[in-house]
Amino acid sequence: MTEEKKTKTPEEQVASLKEGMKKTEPEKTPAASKAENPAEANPKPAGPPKPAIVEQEHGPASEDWQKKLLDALGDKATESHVASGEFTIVLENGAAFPETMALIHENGYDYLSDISSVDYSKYEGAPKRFALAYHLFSVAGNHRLRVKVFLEEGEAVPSVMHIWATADFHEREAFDLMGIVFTGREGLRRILLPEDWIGHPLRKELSKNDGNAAYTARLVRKVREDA
Amino acid sequence: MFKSEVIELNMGPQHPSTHGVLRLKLKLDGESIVDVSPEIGYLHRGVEKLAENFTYLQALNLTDRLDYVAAISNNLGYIETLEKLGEVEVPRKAKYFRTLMTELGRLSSHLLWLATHALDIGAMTVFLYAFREREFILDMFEMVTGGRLLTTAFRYGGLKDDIPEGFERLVRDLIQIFPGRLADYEALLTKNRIWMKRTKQVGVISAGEAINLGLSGPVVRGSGVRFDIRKAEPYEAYGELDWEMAVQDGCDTYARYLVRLEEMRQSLRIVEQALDGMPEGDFCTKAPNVLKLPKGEVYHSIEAPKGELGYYLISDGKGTGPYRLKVRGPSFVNLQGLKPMITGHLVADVVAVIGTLDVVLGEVDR
Repeated sequence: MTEEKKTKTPEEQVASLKEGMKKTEPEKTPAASKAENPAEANPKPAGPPKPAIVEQEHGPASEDWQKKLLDALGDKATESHVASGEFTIVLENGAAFPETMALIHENGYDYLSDISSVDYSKYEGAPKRFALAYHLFSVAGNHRLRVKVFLEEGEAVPSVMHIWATADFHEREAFDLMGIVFTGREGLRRILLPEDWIGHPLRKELSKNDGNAAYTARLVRKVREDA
Repeated sequence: MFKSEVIELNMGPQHPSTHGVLRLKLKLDGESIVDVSPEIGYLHRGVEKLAENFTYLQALNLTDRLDYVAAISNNLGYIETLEKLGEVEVPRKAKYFRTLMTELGRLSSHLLWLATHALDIGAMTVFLYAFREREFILDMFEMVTGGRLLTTAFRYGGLKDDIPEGFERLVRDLIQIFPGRLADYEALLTKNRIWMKRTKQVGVISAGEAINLGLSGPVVRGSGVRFDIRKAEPYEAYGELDWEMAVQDGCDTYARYLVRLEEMRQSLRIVEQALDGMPEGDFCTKAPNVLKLPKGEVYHSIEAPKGELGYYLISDGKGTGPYRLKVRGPSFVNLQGLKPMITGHLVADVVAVIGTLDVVLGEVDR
């Protein structure tokens, strides 16, 4: 991991990235800002009322294997539901999280398909900003399970690499693209992006071009300095 | 008398046997490998971020470019994910045709694997033979979708177009000639002493380790694990057709070679049955012009030629595109099997093990 990474929190990195972006943008001329004003003064006429948002249907856990797992977990699972035939449980982040995951592993969920990171900052109704979704599968029992953990900005989550070795790449990817920090493991470094990339592109406040421009600008600067 | 020293060697990203832009940092003691760490990301295009800026249908184009040698499977996985969240029922004709097309895709992907894997190990003839048959299948894709590699096949609710005229005859021809061609490959390789020496007891991984590492597809079935999503959670028409899962207990490169060959045979069975039982009727349900999905999340996975291909889709109910689309690429995860498989072996075996993992870097880097 680079020195920069250790000293800067993700928010600071994003802030510095935004600053870098501002410098590269040309300053707006007065004429340009004038042109923008009339558009603001005349708001669009109100269109037809927006259709109500259709929600995915959520049901309670009904099948035996689902109830069995919920019994085994007790009050560790704060919420559970079945939607589109998929069983989801929500766990609290904390020191007990790896133990709970180990308990789930003992209950037959020996195959970790995927760890997905989500930025919920522009999503209505999410309890916290980030979430991790662990997609588990039981090879013998043929059941799928989703474990969700919600995280605040800057909140670290214990690694599950010692339970499922496959978590290595998934956690590195979540760190690389979403900036979620995993504790209790080694080798947490970027996997897809260059080591000296700034920011985490899958965060919603960054556009698809943000990091790219800053990275290219730095590359160009470096080439010029070397020349 | 002799000094022993561990040296570091970079293999790739421009090495021909890495099948793309994979860079391996090898730590060598003499010629045997002490440690290996794959460096990936050279082909990272930010597919997941791009998908958030697109509509659902536009994002279908991105899925072509994941595993670009089996784009049909990627299309199917993505479209099925949308259909799962949208809860739309697909006509039976579309189900059968999708099954047929994905199995042809599996054939073409496995043919490419066989060609390059054999070439890496030194069997040049198989390479030429396998490419000849692959052309045949790509011609069919061109006939149906207009694209040979980037197919963008299927649509929400069914197919884009009806089955073209003359397609059936092409498939019948393939069913006719392919078993003989497969026998040719086997004659060249299966009992070949050099082939056996290069693949047996190379890249060994136990069943427990393979599951813990999240390996999937032929890699895990070569270790005796009966895990195939087509059997475990049948999608499309797989539940209605008669075929068998290919499993081998050898745990090595040779066992995985046998698994893939058997899979090709089974694919051909599926293709034949799907063609014989092709139902009449609509090929697509009535789908809205601008697709909007309910607010919620789904994870759907299918058995792609490389293994479990999963899509995790979140919709916010307002937009016409994904709020978040996460792709679980089988190659990305299978690549983690490289280290336990290769440690202690020779440099020459790296080539065999990369071949047996059958990674496509477009899917690893996304």
